[in-house]
Amino acid sequence: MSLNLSQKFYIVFVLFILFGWYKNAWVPYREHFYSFSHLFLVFLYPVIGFLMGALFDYLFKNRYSFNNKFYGLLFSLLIPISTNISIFILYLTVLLFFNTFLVSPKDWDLNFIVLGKLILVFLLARIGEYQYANLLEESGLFVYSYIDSIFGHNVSELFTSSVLLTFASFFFFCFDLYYKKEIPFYSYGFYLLTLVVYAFWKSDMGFILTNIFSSSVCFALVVVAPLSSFSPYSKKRLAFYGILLGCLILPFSLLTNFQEGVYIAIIIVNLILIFLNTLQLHFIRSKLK
Amino acid sequence: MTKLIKLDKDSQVKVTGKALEYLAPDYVYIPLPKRKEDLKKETNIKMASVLYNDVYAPVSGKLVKLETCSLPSGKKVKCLGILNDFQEKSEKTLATRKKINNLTFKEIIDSIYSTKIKEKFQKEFLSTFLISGIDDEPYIENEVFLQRTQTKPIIDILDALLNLYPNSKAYIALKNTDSETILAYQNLIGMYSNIEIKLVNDLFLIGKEPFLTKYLHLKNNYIYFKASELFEMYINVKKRKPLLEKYITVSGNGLQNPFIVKTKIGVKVMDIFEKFWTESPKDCVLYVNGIMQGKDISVEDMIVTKDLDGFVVVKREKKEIKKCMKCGKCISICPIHSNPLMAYKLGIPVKCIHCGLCSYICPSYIPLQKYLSGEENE
Repeated sequence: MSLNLSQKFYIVFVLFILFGWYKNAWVPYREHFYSFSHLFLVFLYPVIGFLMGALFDYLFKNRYSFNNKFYGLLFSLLIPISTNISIFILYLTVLLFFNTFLVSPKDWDLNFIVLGKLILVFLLARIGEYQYANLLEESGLFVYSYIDSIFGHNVSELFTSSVLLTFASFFFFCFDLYYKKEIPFYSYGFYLLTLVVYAFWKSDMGFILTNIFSSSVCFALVVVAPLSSFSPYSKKRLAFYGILLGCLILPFSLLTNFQEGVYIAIIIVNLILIFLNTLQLHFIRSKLK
Repeated sequence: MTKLIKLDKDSQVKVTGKALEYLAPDYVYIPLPKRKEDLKKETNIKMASVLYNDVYAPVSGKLVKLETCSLPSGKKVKCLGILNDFQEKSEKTLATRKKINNLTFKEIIDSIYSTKIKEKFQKEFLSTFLISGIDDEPYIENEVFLQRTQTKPIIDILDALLNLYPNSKAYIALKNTDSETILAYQNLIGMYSNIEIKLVNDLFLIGKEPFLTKYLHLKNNYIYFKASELFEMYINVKKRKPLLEKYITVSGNGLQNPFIVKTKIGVKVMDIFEKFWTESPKDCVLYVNGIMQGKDISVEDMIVTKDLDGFVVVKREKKEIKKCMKCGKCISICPIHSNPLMAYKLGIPVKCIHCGLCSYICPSYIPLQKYLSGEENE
């Protein structure tokens, strides 16, 4: 049985969800930071994301490989833990409507998942509910080692904390013909380069170690940036997209933080890509006339 | 150059045994050019007589009807129906040549019937004959079969051609997986120092001239032939008559017993099927001229022409056509660096060799080939 790329993504998402549940629900519950019901509440986000997407696909007869089901699930992985479930449902509905009636039919290259995440974070910050750390992490009672953070015990989005799982996923996806592996490859490479340059400039080698395995950056580069519908497809543009993205992550991460910096970089590179595509199209059409 | 790829195919599907023969049909049909529609009915036609440019009567008999038939391309044309009298009366009877390796350039060129082949000899300097013994389609094995069964004639004509050009050499390109053909040649070419076998990887399109010459690093001063063209030349030169027959493969994973038929040109495809096709495959699709470059069109009134290579019967797969996910594989796989997405999304015409690779690789099962050839529009 051969799996297509979206099915491979689903497998990986399930593993991320399980680990996210362990980190954000089971461990804090075991240490008495959350009640028993929280064990189920954390699971509700991906389940709702998936089911709402499926409902949209069913109602509006979606014929895409990467459909609303997929995007609903992916979006649920990227939200901060502080997101209220009702806000999540409401916001996801708007996002799926946006995709169903604008992004997909008009064939826009706009990465609405990233845009949606950034707007959600902004809204959460406005209402004072911006928080990535769970109660256990917030309490500061447990100090995790560097190795722990690589294994996934660090402050991150709801289900994206395991760096090890992200790297394993990358190797898993690399065997798929349709996965744009050039994007994570170039972007992570150039991200490392900017880290090194910055560390030398600031004479702080520890900075490299602290941020080299940022779970948000790794997940965004392996899963979100190479999403087929919102990324380029020619070899040259893939390289350009990856390199530019890699170079922009650090500046934006320093301006905001590493949870959002990478997503701001993705949306900016995405907008540049849209601009280039429009320009090329205009050029071709005028040439044909 | 784009890296050619190996196609996924059912390795169990293989044509074995001898070719079936359908050489005495009741009727043959010859496509007519418009200006020749004045050919009178009831005219007696001799076998191998010229009907018009490069077209020869495959049988002897009487012109009895004008009928609309379809060509392997799907195009409908008026055809001349010849009722076979089974006499095989020929226009002129020239004796078969005993030896062909001592013929002059003029004698050989004059013996060749096909203008297309004749034109290939217009090169002033020639150092290499490149023979492709590779079929361009998966499951179609005409070239391979021809070489396996007609190795000696192919070597003979090649030797005759090499004698025309001192210091020239010949390369016979074969797939490295095709052990039987390799063995058939190896048993014969020992005494020909200027004939060499070149083994190539089992890649799609590798047998086509631009890709094969690139693969073998040949640039100028060569002539490219298909093995079937060499065999045609052998018949022309040795037997002094045009080639009036054709091998056709009927294969694919939808058939239990694939077969090859040697048939007269102009025969109706349905007549061949009625005689030899004993199976009744269910839930299958029939592709004319292969699954990659061919089409799934009706064969109801199709006739055998020189362009027909065979039929591939494959099990129907339930593949739902989805919308483009912009993976760009159709662009990266295109052997001529075209942009099929441009044709699909914007309706902008792009250059195309109709190899079918873009449709093959598409994860959304979009029949891009149809958009490229303008058959479908969004």
